[in-house]
Amino acid sequence: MGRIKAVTLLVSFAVVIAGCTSTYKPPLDIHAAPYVLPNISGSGDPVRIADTTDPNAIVTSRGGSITFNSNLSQYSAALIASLERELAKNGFKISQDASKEIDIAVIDVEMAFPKKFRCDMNVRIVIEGKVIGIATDSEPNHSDSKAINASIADAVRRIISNEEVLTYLIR
Amino acid sequence: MKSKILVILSLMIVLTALTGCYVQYNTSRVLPDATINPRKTYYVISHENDPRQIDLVISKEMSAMGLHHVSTGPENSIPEGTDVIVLYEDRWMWDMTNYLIMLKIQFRDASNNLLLARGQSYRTSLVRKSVEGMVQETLVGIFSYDEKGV
Repeated sequence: MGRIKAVTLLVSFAVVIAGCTSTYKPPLDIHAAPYVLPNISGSGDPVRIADTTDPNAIVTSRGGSITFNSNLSQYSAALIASLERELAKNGFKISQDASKEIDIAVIDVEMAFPKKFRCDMNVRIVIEGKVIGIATDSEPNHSDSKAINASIADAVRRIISNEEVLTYLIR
Repeated sequence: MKSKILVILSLMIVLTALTGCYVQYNTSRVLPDATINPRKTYYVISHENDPRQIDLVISKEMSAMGLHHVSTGPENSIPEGTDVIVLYEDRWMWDMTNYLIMLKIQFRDASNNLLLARGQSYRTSLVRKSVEGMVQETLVGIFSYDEKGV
């Protein structure tokens, strides 16, 4: 093996193990179940879920040796798609023309690596001017993408079981 | 030829092992429009099972950094009029002795639980620091945040 080839191989290897970057885009079909909702199926007027996430925000964090560049609007798209699906599944009417509105913004995504990957996501909900902060506390996973999906599912569960959100939904 | 490959493989293994021992980073973020200033009152929430009382270290360091209205205690005793609650998460590892591998600190609006700022310090065994050092590093990261990200 030539010396140049050997050095190139070592340098590439060093770069690979020293760290890489992830720009994972969460899918739109994340399942939030299981969760327990009170018996409120089908009640309430139609509701609009508005995405108020900053479309240009890309937040950087680290998890172990990987740097994560999280595009917040991609996270909110996945979160809202899952939330709307779960609400519809429980009998709530989702309509883009509804006067009843819940504003949702993903304001922060931070990866952590306490032995496994964990994604800590923060969401701001605004209902008739009242602000509610939601923080996820999902299970860590050996896979960074599974950890992110778990965080989104956890956020959905926390939103639909939030007392203030529920009270507004069934009104 | 064979010996060269063996040398390269050995170097790769050593490099991998060393990289595993030497991971260190400090990340922070202050959210847009969020402010952390000395006029606000802060409450560091203690953990029930934290014999090291890291909440007291955080409170002391915050005071040393100019935030004068800082108190600590359990989650169910947040004083009235608290503006910001401070949460922390400490993760420990064993390598000859127990050491703090990860410390996360979050500042949240006490009225609505909204995240205002967060910091994380991560140090593996070879670059370990004391609790005080990790707390200081994490808080400095938050207070000197300039939208640089990592």
